[in-house]
Amino acid sequence: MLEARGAKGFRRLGEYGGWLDVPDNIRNKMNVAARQAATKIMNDLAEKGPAYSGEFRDSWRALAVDGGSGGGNQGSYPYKISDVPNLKITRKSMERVKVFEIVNTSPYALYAMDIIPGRWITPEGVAPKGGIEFGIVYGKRYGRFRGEVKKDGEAMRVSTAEKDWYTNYVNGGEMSDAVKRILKFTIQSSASGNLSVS
Amino acid sequence: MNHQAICAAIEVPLNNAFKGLTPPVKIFFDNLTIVPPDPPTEYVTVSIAFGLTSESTLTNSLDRARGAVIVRIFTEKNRGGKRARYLSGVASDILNSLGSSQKAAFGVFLRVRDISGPAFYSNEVEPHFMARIAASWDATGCG
Repeated sequence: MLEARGAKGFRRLGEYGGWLDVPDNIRNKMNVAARQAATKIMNDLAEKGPAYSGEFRDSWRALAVDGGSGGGNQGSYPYKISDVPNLKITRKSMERVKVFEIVNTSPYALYAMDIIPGRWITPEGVAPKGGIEFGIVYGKRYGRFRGEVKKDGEAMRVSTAEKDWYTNYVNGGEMSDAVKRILKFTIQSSASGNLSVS
Repeated sequence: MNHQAICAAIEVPLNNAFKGLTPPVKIFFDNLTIVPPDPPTEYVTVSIAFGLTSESTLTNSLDRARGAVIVRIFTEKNRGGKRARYLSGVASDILNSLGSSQKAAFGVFLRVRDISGPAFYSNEVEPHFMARIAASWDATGCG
């Protein structure tokens, strides 16, 4: 039986082998770390992704898998931690493998993410905003996926993000690196006294 | 780190596998061969993207790169998913086999991890049925 005694903020969790109980203040730190990581990912996606009208860039949302315990505005880029819902700090919730789902709610998200092909038109009277990291490339379309535009001085098709930017961010190491950096920072900043139990 | 060597380590086995099928399946690579405006009944495209070219949080080695490979398989529409599933299996087997050899003293050593898919897609407008496989890769340069 693991039971925290005499330490304010601890919860009695019953019989459970192999785990030490975690005080509420550490659970709160983990909650903040998870929300910071989600915020960082949403901003990275907004910065790497395309922006013609800007609607796609402003449509990233973080949804708490357990429903959350409040908070989480419908924000736009640049996203803030207040745009990400609070997690419940129950043990069950904190032990979930997946705590947030980050989704894009724009109707053409799968096209913007180069997941599915499409037919492309250049909207009249709307100047492209341009991707934050990529800018704008004017050129010739060579395929039906969003990013399949080759730079060409004459042609006027537009791409505002690298082809396969989304898959590359998720699979290419940058997303996991961003999460690692946030967690490392949070653990370091919470190391002074918070973990000690008297 | 030689980026071209990394691309070759992924592209050559995929190219050999699809060209070795009976009948051979056309394969197109980014910025090398572009799918023609009137594409064949079935074909494969391969995109290789570079993510982190060094990952200082994990290792001191600067000669390390990570990225993603996306294989898109296009087959005849309204003929069921069997062919697309078969070709997806060919691609997955090749990606899984990358890095199964031992690390050599020289050259690029590449491993593919976390294969996702195949995810299938078709609609009324597009002329093909599509399967998509994405995977992350991790390469180190030696020598």
